[in-house]
Amino acid sequence: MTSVKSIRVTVSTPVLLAGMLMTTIAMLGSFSPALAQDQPIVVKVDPVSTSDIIPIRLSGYSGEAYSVLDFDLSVVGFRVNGSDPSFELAALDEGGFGGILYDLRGGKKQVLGKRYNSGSARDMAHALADDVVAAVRKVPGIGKTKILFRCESPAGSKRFEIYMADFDGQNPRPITRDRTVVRDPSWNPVTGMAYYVSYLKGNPDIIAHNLRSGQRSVIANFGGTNSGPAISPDGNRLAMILSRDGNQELYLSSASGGNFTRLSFTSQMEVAPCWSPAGDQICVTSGARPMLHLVNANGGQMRRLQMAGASHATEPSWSPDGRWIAFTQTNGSRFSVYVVPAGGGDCINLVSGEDPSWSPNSRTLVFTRRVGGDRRVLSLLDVPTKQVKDLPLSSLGNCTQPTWGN
Amino acid sequence: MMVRFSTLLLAAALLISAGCQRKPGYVTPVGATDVVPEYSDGGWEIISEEPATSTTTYTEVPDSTVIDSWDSTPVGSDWSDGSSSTGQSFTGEDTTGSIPEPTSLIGSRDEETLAANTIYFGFDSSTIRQSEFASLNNVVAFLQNNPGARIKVEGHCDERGTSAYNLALGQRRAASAREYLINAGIDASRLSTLSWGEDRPAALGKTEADYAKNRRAEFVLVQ
Repeated sequence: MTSVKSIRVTVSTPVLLAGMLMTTIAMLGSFSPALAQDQPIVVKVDPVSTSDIIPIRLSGYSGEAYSVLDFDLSVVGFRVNGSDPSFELAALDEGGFGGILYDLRGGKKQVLGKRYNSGSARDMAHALADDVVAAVRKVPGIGKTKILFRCESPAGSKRFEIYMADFDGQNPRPITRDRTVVRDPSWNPVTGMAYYVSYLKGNPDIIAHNLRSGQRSVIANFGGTNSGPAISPDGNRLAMILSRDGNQELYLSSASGGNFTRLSFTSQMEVAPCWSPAGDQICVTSGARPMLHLVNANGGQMRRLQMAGASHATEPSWSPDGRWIAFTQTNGSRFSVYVVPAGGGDCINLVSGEDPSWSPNSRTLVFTRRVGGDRRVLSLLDVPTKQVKDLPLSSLGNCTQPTWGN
Repeated sequence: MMVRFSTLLLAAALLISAGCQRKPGYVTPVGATDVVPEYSDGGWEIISEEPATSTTTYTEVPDSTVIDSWDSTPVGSDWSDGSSSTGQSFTGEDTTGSIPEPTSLIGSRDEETLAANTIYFGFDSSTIRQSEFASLNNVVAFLQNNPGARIKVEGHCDERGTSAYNLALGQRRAASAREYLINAGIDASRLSTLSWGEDRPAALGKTEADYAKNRRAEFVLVQ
């Protein structure tokens, strides 16, 4: 019943969105003639280096709109309301929510004008932030994306649930209410399927969970430990680690379970697989000294990734643009988020933390930080500028294992 | 500059991987019936593959609109009625407040005996130390004296290590302990394993003594 409803929503929404876009690019009085109603906006912004922090002034925004814009812009390398702004985003004086973006470098040039007619205040602010990001950073914004993660609720209870929230930690919703240990969430927003490990039956089993209907089914409940499900970018194949043959090895199955294929044949344990964005390769931790390895999804020899500067690598996440693999470097009890070029090379230490997951635009990472003893916090890292923002999820307890919906 | 460097590396890697020979016969298909017999626990069955058409319904929809529909994401809590698509039950008993406790075959005194023989490991190690032989031999004796008893070996870790790595390490610890019992003559079919990783610590402190208490394998009676 619910699934029928959601299908109807998804079919009709493109029409709504198209209409919304048309009205948002409607001309404002002060705009240049180039911004005619039925033409796409042509934004001319002088190139900004990817790694430059961009100072931007927000004028005329307050309350929720301000906080959303502040957050969304900060996690893609803007610095809001600092000194010497390069850009200014000015609220509309009248006629609803929107903004006019000015390039302040070498004179004040108007580069963008938007008005939004539908959606909640938060939705519209996210949409405006996305438009600013697209205009200045030349990458898609992440304001409308979601993350999946687990929380120990309350902290210290040893009971975990899977949650979904907006990428900025707002609107968290429980996906499970099982009061047991769950872990390793993975999901595919296109197919609407989530996968995770649940101990509900007393054993770590991999479960498929239809996020539209709430229906769950079993993927792998072999004796031993079934862990690390990772759904392929096309949503058709699931990578995972199974100990069914004794040692913990990398397997693939179909998205609904079955058709199990073993991909690794090592004496070491394999841990925490992730997919290349093209779906042709899998990155997995292996080795006596745990390091990242690649294996073709169709099988073949496992190849060690060259990783200068790393010594204990787990929890890889492959950027959707294919260029980087983020991972956790462990040194004793210290954890750092590193990236390495997907073809191997020098590792770059980004921030203290663990378990990174890339945003759909391959710029921002969501990761876990250990703070003050047993507390865990989810944070966002803008990789090129290294700006960090914590997600406001402390009321849910200790939240970990974030995964972005790419 | 970093960008250019990485592009070069990626290109180099692509060239290298393009030169690698694939081994067509390398993939070993494993059917659901290939489970090692002593590991089968008579629990859930692997559900059959659903028709490919069920996913294609959504693939035409742009991401942003799909995401909009999450606002009504149903919680997967309503599964005690067993209404899954294939009729397989991921239903389970009502586990209000806790993990289902295994039912004791023999009595609480025996559970205490097993609990008293928890074994401990070195940092980042799944090797059985000589100091743990006495505990393991007690478990062997228990199993020999109670031929109907089956136990689950549960591996645990301290919190130093990533969550993913620790889950795997805990499984290795459980497997090492199981291997010891098998080598001592216990039938493998009486011994199952699992890992809790770092999610069920025995001690919550941050000292080496606390960590040492958490690097363990416990022996739990099962029905």
